[in-house]
Amino acid sequence: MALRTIAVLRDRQMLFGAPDLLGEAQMSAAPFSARRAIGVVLATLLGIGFFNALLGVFGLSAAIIALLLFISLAVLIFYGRSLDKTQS
Amino acid sequence: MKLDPEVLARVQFAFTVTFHIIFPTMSIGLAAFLMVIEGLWLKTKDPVYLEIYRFWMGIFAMGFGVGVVTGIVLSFEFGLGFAKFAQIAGPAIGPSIGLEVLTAFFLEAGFLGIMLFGLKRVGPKLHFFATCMVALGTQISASWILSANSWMQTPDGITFENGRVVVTNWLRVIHNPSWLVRLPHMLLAAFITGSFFVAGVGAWYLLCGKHEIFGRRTVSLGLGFATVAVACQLFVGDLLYGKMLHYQPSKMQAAEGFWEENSPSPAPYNWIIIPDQTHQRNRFALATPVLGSLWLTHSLRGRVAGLKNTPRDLQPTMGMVFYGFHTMFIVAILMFFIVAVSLWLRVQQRLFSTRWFLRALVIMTPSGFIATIAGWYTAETGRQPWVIWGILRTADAISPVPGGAMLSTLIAFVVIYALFITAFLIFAFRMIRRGPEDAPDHAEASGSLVNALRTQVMDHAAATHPGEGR
Repeated sequence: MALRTIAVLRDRQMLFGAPDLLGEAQMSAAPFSARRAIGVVLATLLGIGFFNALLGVFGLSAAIIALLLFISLAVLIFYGRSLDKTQS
Repeated sequence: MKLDPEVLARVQFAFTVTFHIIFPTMSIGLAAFLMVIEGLWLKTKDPVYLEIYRFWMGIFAMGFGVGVVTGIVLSFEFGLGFAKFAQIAGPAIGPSIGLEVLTAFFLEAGFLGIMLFGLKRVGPKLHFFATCMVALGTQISASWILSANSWMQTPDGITFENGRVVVTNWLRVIHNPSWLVRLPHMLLAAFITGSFFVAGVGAWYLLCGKHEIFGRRTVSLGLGFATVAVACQLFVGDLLYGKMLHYQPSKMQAAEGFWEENSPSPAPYNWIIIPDQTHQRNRFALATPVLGSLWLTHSLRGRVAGLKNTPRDLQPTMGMVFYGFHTMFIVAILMFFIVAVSLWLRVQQRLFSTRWFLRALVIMTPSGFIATIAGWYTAETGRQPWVIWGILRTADAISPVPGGAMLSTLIAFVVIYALFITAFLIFAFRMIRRGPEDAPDHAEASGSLVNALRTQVMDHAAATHPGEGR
């Protein structure tokens, strides 16, 4: 039981505490450039636009177009950036 | 103390159906996921896909078993708690449930054994076929149940003679006005639930630094499926909203938290309210201006109808419907945020290295279950006071059973289901902690729960004390 408790605590520490296992240090060391900030803002606006379009705010036709565009974009990104092939 | 049989019957059904819906939702989602994974394995022969398949098959098998057992209970409850409903609506509802058994259960029963135990006993193509048939079976099952439930929401194809429902058009009973929108809504909910479940477990492995290739692949695939399914769900959800606004206006009036016959223009969007049903007003409301008009009427100045449009004796309880709907909707917003961020991180090639995102994925692991249960609460509490919309009130559908008897069965259900969920969670967490590498080639039948527990304990002891023999 004690061993199991230690194992659970260890997992919890990895989850919420933090020995760096996946390169968090690399991320935090990376400079947050203006280009990246603009990218984040544009991506957020695009996301909000898609969300509202999918909810039908701009009409049914726009919702269908938004759905097709969003899925196409997702599929393109999924196949274009299949990370586990390049990094594993 | 006087026990009200109506309240107890409703609480009992709500409890058992809440518990039950967790498992079919998981089964439908995981069966579809397993079908895709096995297809990818057959196509690529990549052993990681086989590892993913073997791992998730074990959890699927457990969920499937609990889902079947808890589902059977519901059929009995129609007779035990809602005998008058069964008597009046049996001619329309009964065949749908019977057909579920004949089509979906027979299909699943025929192929489940091959799927669970046949990985090394039959050819890979036959095994894949079995997985496809089980996945199809789960979806056919959902179709019949959604047809029956949708008929209760939007009844069609019947007349009411001598106090009983008489079917005049079977096609319209099955293909009732809300079924074709509610069915994809539920199936997508199941796919999303499975996707977030799978991605969350994969993210947990990545955060723990264990089974990294497995974790990456499951996070990637889980989020891939979730991205498509969440977008489709928002679209279908809006269509369903429009449909229910037409057929069950009081449900949607309660879901949005407005009382007055017409809201101000532009209407705010209510996020938190404290409704006062007696005085037909909100004691408190936290809202975003204009957003109500935009989201609910798709215009900048549209007005939203409130619950006072419905006579008091036909109103559902606003608090239940409002919070059911808003829990579902807020979880959907979070899900869309997660999948949108996942696309961004994928473009940036940081999907597996962004710890806050992986933590968010772990937290979102049960999100699909929460949203599905909340959605069903919206559907069922919003239909009140009717059990069959416009035809039979819930109060008139209850069995003539003493409150004490109803309470005793409710307590029995709570105790038994607590054992079920405890056993399920213990085994599921152990399987997840054990990881994919030790997953067996096929499901293991241990003969009894005691044996299964003993095996698990021994496995754990062997893992923690590798030098000691059994």
